Amino acid sequence: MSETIINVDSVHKSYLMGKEAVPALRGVSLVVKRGDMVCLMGPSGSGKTTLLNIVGGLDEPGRGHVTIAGMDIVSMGEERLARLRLERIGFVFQTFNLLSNFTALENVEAPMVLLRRLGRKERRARAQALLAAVGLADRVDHYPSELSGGQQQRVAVARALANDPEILIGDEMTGDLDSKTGFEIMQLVRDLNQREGKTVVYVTHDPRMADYADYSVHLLDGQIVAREADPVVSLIGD
Amino acid sequence: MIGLYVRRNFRRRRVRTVLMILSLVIGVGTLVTLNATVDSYRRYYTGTVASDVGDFDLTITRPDTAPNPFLAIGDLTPRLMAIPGVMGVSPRIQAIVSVRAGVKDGDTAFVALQPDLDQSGAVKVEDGVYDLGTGTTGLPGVFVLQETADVLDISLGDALEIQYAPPETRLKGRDVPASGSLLRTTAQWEVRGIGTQRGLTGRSNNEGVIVDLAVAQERFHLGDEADRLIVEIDPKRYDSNNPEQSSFAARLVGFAVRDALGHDDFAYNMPRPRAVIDGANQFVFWQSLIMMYGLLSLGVVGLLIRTLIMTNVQEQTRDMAVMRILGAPRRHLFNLVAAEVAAVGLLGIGLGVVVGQLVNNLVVVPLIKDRAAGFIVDLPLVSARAILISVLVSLVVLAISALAPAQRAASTKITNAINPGVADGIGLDDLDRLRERRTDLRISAAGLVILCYPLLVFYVFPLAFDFGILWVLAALIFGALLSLIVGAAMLFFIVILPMERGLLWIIDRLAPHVGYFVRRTVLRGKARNTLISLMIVLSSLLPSFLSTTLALQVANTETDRRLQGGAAFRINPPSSENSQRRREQDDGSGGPATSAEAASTFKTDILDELRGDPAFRATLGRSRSYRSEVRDGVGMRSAQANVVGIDGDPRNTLYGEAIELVSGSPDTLGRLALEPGTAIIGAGLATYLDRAVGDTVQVVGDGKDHLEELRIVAIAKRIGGVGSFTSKQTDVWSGSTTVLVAMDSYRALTNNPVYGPPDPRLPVVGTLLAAPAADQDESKLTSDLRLRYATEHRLAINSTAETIKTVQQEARTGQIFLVVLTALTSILAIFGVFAVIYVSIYGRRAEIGMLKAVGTPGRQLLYVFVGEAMVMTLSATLTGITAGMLLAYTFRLSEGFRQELPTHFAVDPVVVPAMLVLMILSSFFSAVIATHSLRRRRAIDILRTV
Ligand SMILES: Nc1ncnc2c1ncn2[C@@H]1O[C@H](COP(=O)(O)OP(=O)(O)OP(=O)(O)O)[C@@H](O)[C@H]1O
Ligand SMILES: [Mg+2]
Repeated sequence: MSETIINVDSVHKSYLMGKEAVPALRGVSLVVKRGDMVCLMGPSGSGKTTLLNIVGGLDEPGRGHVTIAGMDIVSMGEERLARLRLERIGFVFQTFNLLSNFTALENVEAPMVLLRRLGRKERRARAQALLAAVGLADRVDHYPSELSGGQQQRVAVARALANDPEILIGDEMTGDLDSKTGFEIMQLVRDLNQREGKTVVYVTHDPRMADYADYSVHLLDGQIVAREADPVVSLIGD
Repeated sequence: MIGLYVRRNFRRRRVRTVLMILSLVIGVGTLVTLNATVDSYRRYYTGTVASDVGDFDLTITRPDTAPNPFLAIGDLTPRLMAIPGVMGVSPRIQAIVSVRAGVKDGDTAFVALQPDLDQSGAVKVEDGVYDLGTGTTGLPGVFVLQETADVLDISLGDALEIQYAPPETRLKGRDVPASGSLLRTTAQWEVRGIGTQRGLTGRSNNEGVIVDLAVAQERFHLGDEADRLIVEIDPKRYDSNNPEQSSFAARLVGFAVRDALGHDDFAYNMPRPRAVIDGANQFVFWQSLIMMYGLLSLGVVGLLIRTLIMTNVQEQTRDMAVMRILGAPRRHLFNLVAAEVAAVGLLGIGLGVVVGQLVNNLVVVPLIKDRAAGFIVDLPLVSARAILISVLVSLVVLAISALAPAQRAASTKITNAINPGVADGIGLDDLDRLRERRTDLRISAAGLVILCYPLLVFYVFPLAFDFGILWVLAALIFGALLSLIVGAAMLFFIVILPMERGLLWIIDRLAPHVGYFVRRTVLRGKARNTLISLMIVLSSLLPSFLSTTLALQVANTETDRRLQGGAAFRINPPSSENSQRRREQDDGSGGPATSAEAASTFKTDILDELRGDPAFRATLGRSRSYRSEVRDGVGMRSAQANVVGIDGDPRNTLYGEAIELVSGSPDTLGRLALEPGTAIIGAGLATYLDRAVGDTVQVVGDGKDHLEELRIVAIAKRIGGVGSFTSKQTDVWSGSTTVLVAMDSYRALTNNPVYGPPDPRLPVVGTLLAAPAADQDESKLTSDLRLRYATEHRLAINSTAETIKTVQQEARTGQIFLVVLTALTSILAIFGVFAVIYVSIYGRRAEIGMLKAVGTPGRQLLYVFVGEAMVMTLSATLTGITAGMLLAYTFRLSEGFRQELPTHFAVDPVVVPAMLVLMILSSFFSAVIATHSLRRRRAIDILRTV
């Protein structure tokens, strides 16, 4: 239960703006254990997205070490990193970014097709099961344009789970949704974390959404300033 | 402010800007090249037409009724040069002379000219040099044309003896006295060069000898005289692109010359202006074709620019809305877009003109010169007119394509800024409007309607011919061609979907993981752009149709001509019309004018000479057609028909495949000529009259109450070269069916019995069909026969092999131009493909970013987009190719059906495969290039910019 799955060790990251380097992360260290649900918080521009992208293997740190599931991602090439994401990490973004010409089912199926592990029938069955799990059993053949924002985000969650990843990454998953729908999505993610032991790292501005996490990490100007366990979680207990 | 906007846009949207400028460059370049090609091709065309009759603007000769056949050069030249529009005067002596080289001798054409002055036509030296001066041996030089050299075994350095007789004169209304009392002079020349000519001798062949005029005058004891003056007209006078106008402008100079010299003592002839005006009719088709290609290119460019600018505007909707909030007037936003287009246009059009000129000068002109087989054709390198037209047309297209995006910019609503959701969508609404999700049956229906136009044209066409207005005709042909192509493309548009499915099926077999993605994007079709697909269909349909037509023509000419011509040679005596025409072409060279009746049949002695010629294995004489009526004898049915008599067994002379009997024994063919009172009729007529072998029919003969009873011995479906024997009723209705009889029956029918029995010695052979002996080379025999019979006896010698060669040659020339045109439009089509793929991929950046984030390998992403591009363009290309080929086959098959000719199937070996390869390559590279930056960028970077 206490195995380390993500290890961020004194990571620095700067962006080049013209000739000037703008520091986004300044020596961040973070250890996430398997099964943890972690929330990143902080004011705008504090480096949350930057850190999340590094944790999700979408970006490399400028300085420092990052290991995901025991693998050092700094030394990894772009293609191996892609493979790592495909196999072990699921993403849910603020804008849902569904493939517009694909039905809900096909959107969920797509990562499985890319991984080429399952056959046609198994793929469909799994996609159907995942959609059912997010409460969209009756919407499998709908196109994204035929779904509401919350439903689209559910499809995105189902898609993130397609290849049964160990880690789920969410950047302002609920940002584009009203609070009621936001709560539903958060509850869904929390259930996955609890039932299937998925590690979840997510960013939010909304303190109410942060309540679903095991603990929150606060960032300010590219540095971790606080780490607090969430009262809700402690109420639910381990 | 506007300048800043344009500069920003250029810098930030480099690919798009480059795309727009490049497509303009290529579009304008294509237009310039096409326009210049029209000019060049027209010149080449009239050049070739003119070269057959002589590249002479105006020739002045003496009529053969004038007492003196010669013209005084010294007196006439200054008078002619004083006439405005006259650029030069070259005196010549042209005649038919006897030449002797060693042991061989024969008659040939003779041209004495001033080599430094005479600019008409051109020679190509094959052997030796073109030098007519006096050489080291003391003998003057003669240039011998190839065919004469071949026939008489002449080689370089030979001494050539030329025997010349001045033209015979005659009294008005009288024939030339048949006497040999002419003064013949003989002189010697040395063969300095052998080669070919175009437009120099005024003959389409390469017979003759060319010498220096001064030398000829001296050797033949003539004064400073010539038998003709060739007047060169200032080319500026008739350098119009309207052939009719040109020719009439040239004729004005002709009139001025006639007014100056009078028309009693001189005969005038304008072969080149006449060729130009005659050739114009045939050029109309090519002109329409080139116009068609130009229009197609323009359409693609316009569409491209519109799409790209629209994408720009789309992308900046929010910026523009902000400007509106800040108080910018609509006009300002309109101007922003207009300025951008203007900047792009300035660059693109300027460069395009340069590129077009380069392509014209470096590719098209050399190619046409190559086709001209070394003869220098006067081709313009820089065509101001072509540039002007292209620039103007491009400006119009540019303005039209900028209008919609500019208006869209001007109508930007403030809500676009307030409600970002509207502008946030990844779909480019405007492109969405261009795209369709399903095949639109309406498009096919519209195609069907448009296809009606050609049908209409078949009725309007004869009308246009009747009026004889060239531009109406041109407009009609162009319209017909355009609507045929557009209509067919639209009709066949329904095929695109099955094509796509087929291609997807293939991809699924090859790479299912790629197919999974490609299938969904392509079939659910937001990435499909109907208009551009249609453009691709169009631009592949046209070349496919034309090249297949030409391929079919090449493949079928031989059979067609053999079946229609019947025999290897068809020899005709001079008809009245023929001799008139020939006199105009090389008048003054002597020869009696014969009366019409005598001219239409062979003189007995010539016929005997021909039939006795050992070069022929067999000959068959046939009479002219006698227009008559065939009746069943009881007054129930009758039909108009042509009665033709033959004097031998057709099987000996005609090609085996040219004879097809439906019933009756083949032996009857051999007996027909010997059995007067029998007839072979066509299958159509037999059906029409419901008469069979053994039955009799009545044929109306000359005079009153003259009926001949003929017994049907065979029914034919085809007897080539003799008449029309199709099985179709329509040929009976139109009265074009033939009744074949013995020569004696023909004599009897055409003789009015009131004046006694027919004269069995009356010459009735109007055409002699001949089969060459086994050892004869047909083309050599043709020129040999021409040399022996065409010049002296004015016989028209028709060789089937030669006709086949000419037609195929013409088709190949057409093919070359087609390749040029196709190459030019293909470049544009490639741009179209690139732009579509680029815009489509650009519009789906968010999806691509997502796929990358999820962990799609770069290669897989590339495969998916290459697959999409291939399916999209190949389906359209294949549709176009299929439609074009089907169209070509439809035409050929219906033509074959009409004329009851078999069709040999053929595909074009160059244009169609080249087009396919081009499209595959272009879609491949388009996908590679368009996705290049996206594939290299990281997922987060892509997603951030969406
Ligand atoms: N691609 C980039 N180029 C330049 N600077 C960047 C880039 N991405 C982020 N930054 C800078 O890095 C810093 C951290 O950005 P980041 O996106 O991580 O903030 P954030 O905490 O996610 O903010 P928000 O809550 O507004 O999303 C900011 O100062 C930002 O300006
Ligand atoms: Mg952020």
